[in-house]
Amino acid sequence: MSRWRFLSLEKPRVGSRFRLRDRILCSLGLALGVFFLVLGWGVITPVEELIRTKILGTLPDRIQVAKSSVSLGPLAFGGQIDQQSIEEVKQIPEVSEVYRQAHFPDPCQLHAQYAGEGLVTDLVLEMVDPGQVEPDIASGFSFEDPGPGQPIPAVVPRAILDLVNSGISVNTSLPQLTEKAILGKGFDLYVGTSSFRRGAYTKVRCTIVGVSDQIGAGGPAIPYEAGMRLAKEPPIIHSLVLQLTDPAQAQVVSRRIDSMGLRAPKQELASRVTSVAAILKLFAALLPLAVLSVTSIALGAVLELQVSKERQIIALYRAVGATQQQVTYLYLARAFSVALISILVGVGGAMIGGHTLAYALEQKIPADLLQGQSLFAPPLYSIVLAVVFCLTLTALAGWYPARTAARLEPAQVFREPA
Amino acid sequence: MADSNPTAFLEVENVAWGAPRALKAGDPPILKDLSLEVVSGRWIAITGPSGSGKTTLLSICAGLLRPTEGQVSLFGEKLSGLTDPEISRLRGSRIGLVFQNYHLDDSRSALENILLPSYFGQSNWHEMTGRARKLGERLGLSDHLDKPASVLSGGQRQRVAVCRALLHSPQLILADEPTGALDQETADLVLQVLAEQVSDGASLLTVTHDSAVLSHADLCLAFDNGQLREVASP
Repeated sequence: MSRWRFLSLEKPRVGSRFRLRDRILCSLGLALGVFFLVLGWGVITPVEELIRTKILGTLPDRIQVAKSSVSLGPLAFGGQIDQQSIEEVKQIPEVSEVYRQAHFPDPCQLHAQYAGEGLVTDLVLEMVDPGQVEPDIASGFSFEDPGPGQPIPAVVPRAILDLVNSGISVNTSLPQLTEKAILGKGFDLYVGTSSFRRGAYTKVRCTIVGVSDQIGAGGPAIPYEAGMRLAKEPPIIHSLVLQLTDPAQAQVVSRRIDSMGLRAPKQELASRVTSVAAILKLFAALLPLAVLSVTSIALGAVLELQVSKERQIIALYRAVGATQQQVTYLYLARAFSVALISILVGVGGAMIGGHTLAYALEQKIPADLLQGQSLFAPPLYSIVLAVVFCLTLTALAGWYPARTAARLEPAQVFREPA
Repeated sequence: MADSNPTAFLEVENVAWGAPRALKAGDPPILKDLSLEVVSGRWIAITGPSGSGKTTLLSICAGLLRPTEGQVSLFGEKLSGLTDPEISRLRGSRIGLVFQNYHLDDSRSALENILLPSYFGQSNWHEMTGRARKLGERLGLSDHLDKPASVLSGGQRQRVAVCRALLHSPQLILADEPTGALDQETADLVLQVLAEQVSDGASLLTVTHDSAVLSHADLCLAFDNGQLREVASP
């Protein structure tokens, strides 16, 4: 490493010309820029995802489609999607998968034990293609039709948990329902009977394998094929979920859907959320970038001042054998040492600050709403972006003073008063 | 012992130099058509009044200043044909420079100042540290090597500067008033060390007003109207 030994001249130490205190002061502005960049992106990205998944029930690369219904006062007609429409939707080039969601056509009833009490309730049972809820299936479980005689996997809408927790548990002594608490638990499904339509029924055992925002708020969902096996009548497909090859094509697909007499009711709102999030992300990047730019200009000025103060030392280095390149590297190393402190302080501060803010906010937000989501958890790319910004601006800021230092004429400097 | 068939370490051919502004203003150049050859094992002393161009000549010889006219060759290579890294490497490994004002880095210890050329070269660090300590001890700096340069006296600073110049056992030593701030006894010690380098084959070009230095030199030159002429040794 003797080739780089000269860089050890820049090691911070007692009596150094560029003291640790000065390094930290120079670093503060850059650290603030890094801090806001990481923190800003750390909150906007999960909040956007939170709104899309928990409130709108859509993912950025998915569109939920329903039938355009004709409304006459309080009455709406024509909510069923026919097979022809499904085939047409499958032909859209930007659509890679089409998942069906249908109401189970026969009456059914849920029989379960809840906090030691027997629970019997009529049920709106949903049937969905497995891919629709696949991201929400808990590890170690499957959402495929297991065939006759086997417990059927079921997914519970998160909205039901929210309803129980915020509407029932808070007013009774019943415990809060969490995803972890109900996973793997089972209930009996009485297919063919309900409070309103008594009849012969088939008893089927169901096992809860996940909690999802992707199936609306109607009732639990079972695999589409299992529903087909159990139902006596054909199911009523009321919505489709389209998996897109590219989330950026959502608007294009949405227009095609409209032209086919279908509609994507949440898409417009989801698009607005995405647009607002994009603007906020841009703002969250531009503001810290402005802070970083201003600070890097200041850093450049500080380095320029140091070069002018250290002309005799630079001339000495050159006289005893330092090349212009080595002098350039010395001052760039000084600039990067400032950037390194900034990155450590900025990223560290953003992580600590983010977790503190997240902890404070999570006390105010219902736990189930945040299930699986971490606020202020900066994505890796936001940290990488902040580091790249910081290093690039530091290099630009350090380059001019470093070149000024390297181009000093030692003989001329030695004639100047020390 | 001096080489029986000495090689020219430094050749200055018809060099002229004047500050660009002064030349523009119509002033005559400080150095005019100056030629000089320094061969191995020779001690050449240059004297002359202030402002005659002695330090300028040393700067040109060290490649720190480009002559307005003429050529300078170091170890057989013309400086005008060398790149910055090549000239820097020569300065860091084969040339020792002693500055008139010592030019120490006050934020570092005396030892670190002596070792300064080693930071920029590829030499063995431990070997150089040992040699720096030996040189320091030889010139009476044993108790001061770990002190910051800022607390050293003028004489001690000058000795540190001499040690730094000799660290890499240079073949060419360019010294500007190497004994200017020293008492007689220490000056004699420094001159003795320099004389040993010359007898080991190095060549020494000193700028001085000190008659003791002039008396050690094989050749004494004096500046006369921008040129050098030989003068008798005192």
